[in-house]
Amino acid sequence: MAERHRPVDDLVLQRLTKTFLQRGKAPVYAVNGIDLTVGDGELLGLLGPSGCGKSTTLRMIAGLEEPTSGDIRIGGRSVVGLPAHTRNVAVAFENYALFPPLTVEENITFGMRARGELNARQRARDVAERLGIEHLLDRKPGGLSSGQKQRVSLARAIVRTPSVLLLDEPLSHLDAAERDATRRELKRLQRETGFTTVLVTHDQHEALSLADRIAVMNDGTFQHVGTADDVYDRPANLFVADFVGEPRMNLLPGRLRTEADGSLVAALGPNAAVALGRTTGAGLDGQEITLGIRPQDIRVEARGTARTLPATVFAFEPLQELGRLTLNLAGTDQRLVVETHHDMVAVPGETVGLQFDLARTHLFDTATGERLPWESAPAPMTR
Amino acid sequence: MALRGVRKEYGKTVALAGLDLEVADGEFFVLLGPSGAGKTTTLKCVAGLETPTAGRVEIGGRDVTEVEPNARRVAMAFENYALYPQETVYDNIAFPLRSKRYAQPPDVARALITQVAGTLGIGHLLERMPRELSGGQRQRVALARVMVRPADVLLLDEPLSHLDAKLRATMRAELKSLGELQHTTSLYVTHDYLEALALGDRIAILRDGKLVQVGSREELWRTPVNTFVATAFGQPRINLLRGVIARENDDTLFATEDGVVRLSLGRRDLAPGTAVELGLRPRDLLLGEMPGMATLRGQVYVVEPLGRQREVTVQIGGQRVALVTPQEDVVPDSLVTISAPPDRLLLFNAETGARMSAVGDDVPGDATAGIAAHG
Repeated sequence: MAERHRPVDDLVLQRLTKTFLQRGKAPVYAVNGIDLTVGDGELLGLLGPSGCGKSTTLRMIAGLEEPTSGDIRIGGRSVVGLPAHTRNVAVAFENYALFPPLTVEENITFGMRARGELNARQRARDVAERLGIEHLLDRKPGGLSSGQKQRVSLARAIVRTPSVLLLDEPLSHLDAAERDATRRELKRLQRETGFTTVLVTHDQHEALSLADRIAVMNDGTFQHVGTADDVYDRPANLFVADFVGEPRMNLLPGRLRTEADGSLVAALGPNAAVALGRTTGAGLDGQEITLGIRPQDIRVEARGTARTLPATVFAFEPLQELGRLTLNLAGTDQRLVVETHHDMVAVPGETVGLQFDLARTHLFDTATGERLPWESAPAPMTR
Repeated sequence: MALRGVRKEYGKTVALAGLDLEVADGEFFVLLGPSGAGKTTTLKCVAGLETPTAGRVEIGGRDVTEVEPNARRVAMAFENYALYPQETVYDNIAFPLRSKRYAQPPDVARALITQVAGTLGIGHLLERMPRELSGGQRQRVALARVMVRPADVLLLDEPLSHLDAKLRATMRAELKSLGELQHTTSLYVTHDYLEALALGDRIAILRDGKLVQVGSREELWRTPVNTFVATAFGQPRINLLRGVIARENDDTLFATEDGVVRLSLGRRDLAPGTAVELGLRPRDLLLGEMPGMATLRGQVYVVEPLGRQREVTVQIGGQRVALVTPQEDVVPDSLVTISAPPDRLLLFNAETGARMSAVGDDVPGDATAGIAAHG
């Protein structure tokens, strides 16, 4: 494996923007002024739905697309305007883009031989060994499995020791078994080689699993940039809360109310109120909020108490070790999902009590979608 | 509803190789398998859209193999929910009731349609045109159209496969709530194991036109007949550790070829030298050494955050084993011990893939007795 011995390869995007002009219409902002620093050796996951601007961002970094405005800096040097092949950025594409008439080895060494680089064969062999495809070097791509093709594509990208490695939906064409194995190998490989890497994906599992940090993207802007735990446990807004997590987070619209004793309540319906207790930093009395809580963070009690939220069982789905309970929140038309043990007994129509884990209860401003930072303060506060 | 030795050939291709299947009255029965397994062909044989090359189809104890489709009292929803684009949602749902066979007085028909549409959450869309609906809404209209027909058997061909993952999960719960309301004998085809687990009273696994296993979710999960069934369920997938049966003194062992793993199996009926695969479900495994459990030692290969939990892959000799843990302090390259509850170990013949009965099967009462760690 080629040792890395080179200057610091951080990647910086500054107010990066790409607009597409359409005759007679307002310009479309595919990427709208994003700022990002990917540290040397870091793997950043660019996660978002199709059309969010993540592929355009990747293409601009690779030099396949020029930004409308803003800057891209690799190792401190602006690469905007530089031809793609001089940027030392390698891309492993979703569709592999291998040359069918060439052998695996020729595919891997293609770029190097074009540049007349030395040791191409030996380096190809080293990389192939690292990726477990050394026995395929003399084969043509046609006969390979999807997982093998993906490894060849990856080998071709990293054999050049790029400053920045771009991975475009690298696992999307693999079947479930190959995807798991390849994902783990990719993670290990990136850790060991330490390439500064940007991974573009629409698959949150992939992003959570692989990335040191995740940039969740929508409508050409970053919604949240943070670690997997950060994005999962402290989503910055409603989009992130809804997009990340499987099963998805319950998002329940309601209104904040201050009780006579100063404690705060999230009213989700006439008879459905979540007592938040005395809080710090929450929103205002009367504010329209959306309460977010993940299905794992709700406890179901067969007998409701004054402290639990009444709900009726809509459906129960046993799944492997876990079960998924869908409930109607009493007195509202809101439905929510709770993750339970797989052999729970739940009769449709039955009323149960729900207890929310307050430490894992999120509040969002319904109007802006932004997260409202709050913490329950168990001890009474002095004013 | 029953299939008796149903065989279907297309020229030289055998789509169904003699299927025997019984679906009890009111049962929600799921056919699970990869594409090309023969799931849809089975449905079509029941619906009467295909005539079996050999064998019989029975509904309510009556042989309907030669009966016309529209005389079978079978309703079928297809994967491609073909709606009439120029008709309203109401008229689309009402369509089956226009035929003489299912004709109802107008007010009865209206009440039925309103009720079914309400159950499916599309009551407010009845005056809309199909093009104004989302994919999920169209799916529900197609389902409603099937459900208004008086049918003895409901056939559902991948009804959720066109939906995105989030809507699919929602609609699955909808179907589940309906299934329990309806108690209609149903045959449901899918390639999604979560749908099969969530919905099926019983599940049949189909492969290459043959039944591999029929059973409850528990049976398929805990006692799969072979590695095909074992790997059909679960994310992350079951770990299959390759090894051989070895004999040591009076003990029968599972041993990996590199000798890194040696587990006592406490059984005498296994021939030494047999190539086997040890099946370990990622969520059955625990990090750390637990008393009475089978243990494996290895080095952490990668740690992947998975929402609230971590997926940890451990290198054990030349093989890898994945497990899911809430533990947050697992570090790559660290040495760890994995504990496996002995009654959860599955042993398969590596050549045939067939399960060699659960490891603890022959030690009733104390399933842990035969298992000792030789890590």
